[in-house]
Amino acid sequence: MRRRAAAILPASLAAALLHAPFFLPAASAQQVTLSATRNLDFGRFVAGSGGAIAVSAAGVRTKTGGVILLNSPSAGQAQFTVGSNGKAGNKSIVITLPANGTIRLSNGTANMAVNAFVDSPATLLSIPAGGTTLSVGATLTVAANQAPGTYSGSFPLIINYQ
Amino acid sequence: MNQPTFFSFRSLQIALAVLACCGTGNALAASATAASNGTVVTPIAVAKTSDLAFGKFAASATAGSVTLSPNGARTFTGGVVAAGGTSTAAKFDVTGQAGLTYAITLGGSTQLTDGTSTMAFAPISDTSASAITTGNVSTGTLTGGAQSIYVGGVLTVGANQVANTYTGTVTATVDYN
Repeated sequence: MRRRAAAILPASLAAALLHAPFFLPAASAQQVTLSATRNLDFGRFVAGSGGAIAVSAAGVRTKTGGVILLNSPSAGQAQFTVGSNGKAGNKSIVITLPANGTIRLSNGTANMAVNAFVDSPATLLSIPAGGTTLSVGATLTVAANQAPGTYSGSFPLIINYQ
Repeated sequence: MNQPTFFSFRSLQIALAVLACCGTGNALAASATAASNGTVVTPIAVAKTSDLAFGKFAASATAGSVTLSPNGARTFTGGVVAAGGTSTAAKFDVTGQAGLTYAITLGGSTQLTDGTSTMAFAPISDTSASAITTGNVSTGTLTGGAQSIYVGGVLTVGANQVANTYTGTVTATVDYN
């Protein structure tokens, strides 16, 4: 007795995928997407005797210590767009902000620490079909007589389905 | 005897499942990076480099005035006449972050006094040491990180104003705006 194997052609493999949806794990039907849409901008300021500048998740800038805030129309919170590829997700989201001590802004020689990241909303129970916005604030530590200049950096935001 | 290789249907099922869940990447988490920035600005500072001096003049039975322009030039009205001496406008040097603008507020004496008699004083100022005889500057720009403010003024001299040395102060306050 002889057996012959039928060759599996690429076309028939594609057809098998289309006709076997029960092999697809349910989670991949709810993809989560994330993109940054606005910088976290601490604005302009004079270092003075040093202190800290906080930008809240609502974009309100306040200072502590001897820092002098200057008029800064561009100052404000970072914003991210969370999406679910057009489908309303019904799984809640875990938002992971950078830990203290991991993020710094630098002007090439000097740097300033960015800590105490906060986000709004603090928890996300589901993603609406049209997506939603996550706002992130933080606090910048300014040394006394911090060297003048433009300081820049970046930070990651991670989201996971629970 | 040849043993042909063939795929059983069961292993094809497993292969399809692996492709389906991993072929489109990890869809259960996402990350994005946002930029962050802040600008430390050089503090603004102001220092006086010249005092305001109206110089010497003679009063008379007719009241009048002495006007000192930001360039130091004097003009007289009424019964007041020049009597020598040097007249100079006050000069304040402002330093700070190049290119930024700032507000200028003048203050100090509203009259000069010899301890007893007084003469009303009102400043005249600009940032170019011009020959203006009225007006004050309220903002400046730190081109190259520096700018100077020149302050003259108008002194109102009374009829038979008592001859003496009259003094006062003029202050300049600057703030980034």
